[in-house]
Amino acid sequence: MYSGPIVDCDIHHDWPSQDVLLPYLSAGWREYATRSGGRQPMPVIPSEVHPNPGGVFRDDAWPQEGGPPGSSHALMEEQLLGPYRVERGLLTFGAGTYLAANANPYWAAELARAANDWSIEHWLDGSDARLYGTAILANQLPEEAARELRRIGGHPRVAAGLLATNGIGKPFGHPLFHPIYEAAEELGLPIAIHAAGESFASMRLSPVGSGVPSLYLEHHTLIPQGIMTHLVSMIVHGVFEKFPRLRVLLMEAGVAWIPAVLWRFDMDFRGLRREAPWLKRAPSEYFYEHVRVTTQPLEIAPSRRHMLGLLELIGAEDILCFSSDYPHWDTDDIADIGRNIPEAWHRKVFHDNAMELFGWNGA
Amino acid sequence: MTVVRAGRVEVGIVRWDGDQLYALRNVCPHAGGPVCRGRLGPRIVASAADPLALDVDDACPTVTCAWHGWEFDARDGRAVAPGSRLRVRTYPVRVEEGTVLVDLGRARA
Ligand code: FES
Repeated sequence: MYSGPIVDCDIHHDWPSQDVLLPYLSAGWREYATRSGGRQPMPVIPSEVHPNPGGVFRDDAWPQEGGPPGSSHALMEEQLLGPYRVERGLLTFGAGTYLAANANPYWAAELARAANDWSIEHWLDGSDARLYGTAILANQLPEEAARELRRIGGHPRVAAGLLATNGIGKPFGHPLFHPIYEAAEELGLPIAIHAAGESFASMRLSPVGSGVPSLYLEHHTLIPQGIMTHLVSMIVHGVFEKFPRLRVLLMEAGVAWIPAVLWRFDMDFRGLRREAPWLKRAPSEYFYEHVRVTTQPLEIAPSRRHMLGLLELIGAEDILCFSSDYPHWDTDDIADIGRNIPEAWHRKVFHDNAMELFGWNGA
Repeated sequence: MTVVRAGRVEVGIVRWDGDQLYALRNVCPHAGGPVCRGRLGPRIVASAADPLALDVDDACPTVTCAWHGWEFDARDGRAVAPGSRLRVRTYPVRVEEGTVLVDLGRARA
């Protein structure tokens, strides 16, 4: 059992009710959101195409005082931070993770600003020194998202920019998004990309390739597809040539897909280099230098030996960063993950890799 | 680019920039395809800072294999794609009295 320090790279903190955002909105947007206190306020987050029939939360994570899972610091302490040596946790929003799913780009940008201010005030004031945050970015308007990142990226507890929903329906390597990466590089902050950002009806996107699936089970099984698309796109478009100090953390897409994508990518690049001649290295080299991947949900192979073989193939010891995804239904338990990866890797995967990524060594 | 046969060995002769001559074995290090039955051209180059400015580097004769399109530098046979260490075998070549001579070394003709 690993007893060393832990960095948890994906903890979903939430607001007790979306009404708490109201004071953070401008007067105009507050009026827009509430219609003078009417009974049909604007939802912050549009509906998902595939609701989980059992709900997306752990059943035991509902706070007694009300509000959604993730909204109670006391319960988070009791269930996650306390029992283990979580020395640093990265907060990635709850409902707010997907606020860029709003079709109205101006509303999404204002919501992102309000959500970030709320997060800083309520969770990142230093009263729990373990907690660090992300700047949620509404990427419908990439220039605005870059401005937002610059606005709060200097805060000592903001550790990354967070992209989740795909606000303009283009893979994240598209040059339209580059202002965001420019800002992140300038600030020395990694960009975290949270999976499942194509899950909202408002996006008019299929969350997976080849058409909209019918069941949440299909959708959830195939969630890594979106992350593969963003990863390949960022490398192909030369994001890491243009922004050589940019680092990226891929969240919640599991790990078993990595060798298939990287091997095919490197092979195809040899025959198709002429399409992306600005790449100065093999695609997989950009991956290993610039990209880290969160563990959850770590795939469970039919045998531990096969799982280990796969993890070794991808050099997992150096690229994986532990994440719990608390308080979601597919959360990974720290002790359980400890049993599924070799003990010799624990220190790096549970702690060191994330510390290095976020530039926390010596901080 | 012309392919000639010497016994069992097929060699692609590349002529570039007027009088530069190179000789490559017509066997691709990828999957054994006829690399010299593909295309010969200048190297496409660009910078990530300005992908619109796609350009060619005429100093880099590039052979694109007939099968899967992998690119090799005609001068030394090395794969063009960064990260690949594959290499097409090359042979010394010279011209004597109007005749192109390729030194196959100990290759069995
Ligand atoms: S055999 Fe030449 S590229 Fe495949």
